[in-house]
Amino acid sequence: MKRPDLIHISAISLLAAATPAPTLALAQPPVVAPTLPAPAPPVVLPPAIVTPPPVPLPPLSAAQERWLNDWLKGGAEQGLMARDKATRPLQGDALLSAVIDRARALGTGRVDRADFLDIWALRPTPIDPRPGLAKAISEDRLPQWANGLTPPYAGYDGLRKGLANYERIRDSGGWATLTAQSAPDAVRKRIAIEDKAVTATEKLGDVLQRAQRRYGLNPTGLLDARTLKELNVPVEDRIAAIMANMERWRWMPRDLPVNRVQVNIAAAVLTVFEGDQPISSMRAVTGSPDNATPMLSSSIHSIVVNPPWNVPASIAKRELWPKGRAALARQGYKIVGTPETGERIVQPAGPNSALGRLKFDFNNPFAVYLHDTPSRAKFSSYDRLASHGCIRLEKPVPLAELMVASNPDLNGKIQSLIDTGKTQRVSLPKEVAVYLLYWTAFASNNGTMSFRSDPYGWDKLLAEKIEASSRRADPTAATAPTIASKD
Amino acid sequence: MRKLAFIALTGALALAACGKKEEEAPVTNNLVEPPVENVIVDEPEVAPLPEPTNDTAEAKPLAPPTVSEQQQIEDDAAATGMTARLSPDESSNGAD
Repeated sequence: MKRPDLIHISAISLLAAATPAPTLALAQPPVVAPTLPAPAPPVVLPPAIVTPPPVPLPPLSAAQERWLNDWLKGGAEQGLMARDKATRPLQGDALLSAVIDRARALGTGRVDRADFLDIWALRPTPIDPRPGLAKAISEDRLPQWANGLTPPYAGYDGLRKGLANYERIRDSGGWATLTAQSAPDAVRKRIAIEDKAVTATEKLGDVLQRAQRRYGLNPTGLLDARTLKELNVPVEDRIAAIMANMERWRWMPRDLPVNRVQVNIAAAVLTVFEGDQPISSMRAVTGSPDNATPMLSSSIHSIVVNPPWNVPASIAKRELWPKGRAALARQGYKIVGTPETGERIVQPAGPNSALGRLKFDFNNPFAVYLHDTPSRAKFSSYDRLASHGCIRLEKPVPLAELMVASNPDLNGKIQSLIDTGKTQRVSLPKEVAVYLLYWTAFASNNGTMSFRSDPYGWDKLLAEKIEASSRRADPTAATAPTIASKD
Repeated sequence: MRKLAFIALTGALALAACGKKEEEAPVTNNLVEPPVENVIVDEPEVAPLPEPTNDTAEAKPLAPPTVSEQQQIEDDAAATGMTARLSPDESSNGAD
């Protein structure tokens, strides 16, 4: 059978993969590489940073000193410190030192690299603000320099505006707690605090549905328990969520590729951007709180059509081996020998494979990927954090078609490749950047804020880590009760 | 003889079960409570106002709102980190 040249096909005989012949497997590794139990990749430490002599900073004019002191007071607007934190005017080296600290905080966030969780694998690139600051001082372009420090994206800017709005709400007294017996006008008034589109004559059901969509809940239009819970989250907690998300934005690269796939793990949705514009989106199923999907960036390099599932050892031990070999065989699993671990379980490709018909491969040390699934029912749910860490896709075939569309030999051929039933790896004409992100607060185009619950507890943990990092930097600093209190 | 013994045993067990059930029954002094039809109810002149309640509390869930495909894509784009690039003019440090 003739196949397009660019399809890197190696028809894998599942039988061969399942044959307990370790030496053969070593000599001819399957095209579909085992996802696990790959040995833990060695921790690659960043290259040692050889610190060059610091760039000398020109003396500041009086006007520049005033401007920088005013700028330092603006940390609250970027979610770095409490709004009413007093700062005394600084001069000379103390001022420059504070400016450089602020520049680093805005550029890369405030969490020490050593404090990152392993699965917060999206790390900011370290920056040295001194050369830019020296140039800005000498050219008298401090505002332009300062504007260039923050993430230049609408997502961050929407959070910045949202922060100002929610601080106004807090300063005005916040919102009243609702109960199931609250009068319709009280519910409408409460929601209108956050949603400027609410009108006095609008049906309450419509108002509630809009709010439920902002919280990622089933839009029933009813004031049910989960809706009440979200509406009763204190405004201070919403502010903390916005600030945590602004911090994560600072970890993002400043120059994202214009073509990319982005996943919000917390909201379990995926969006495809082409030329910086969203062109497609779909629901996803992401890791359960016990199997958190990591934050990371990588590039999808190939798609495996009709993939077998090499069951990770942890899942096999917890969920499959206890069933017994006979039951596993009845359910279609194969047990194959491996030189590393002795035996592993493989679920052959097919309609019931846990990976469905397509698997999107990208390099990462967590053995996670995007894939199809035979379990479609979960996509109609509003609670979709249920996987072992991988990302299950609602519409994998259209996504694959988008990724191969630029190759005439592959364009429109994904379904026919699936229909062959053969396992084969398709290299993408061009790698596609993929970002697995964790957003629990985000602004829509009209500025209205949406929130998701913090399913992994990472917002709270981030606040604690910022606190710890700040305390190390300034041991005399008083313990702050919330993320909002530290610079 | 054996049949008689069986009947006696069954009866004893039945009585025991009944007795146990009696013990577990909630204590209710039926003798003191007057029959319902004899209770004198003071009807208020004006019917009490119903408790304030959400007007959708007993309603059925609404049909999901109609959302165009484009709107859904934009909503999902916002959720995944709306990454439209700001021009230098838009990217200001001042709070709105």
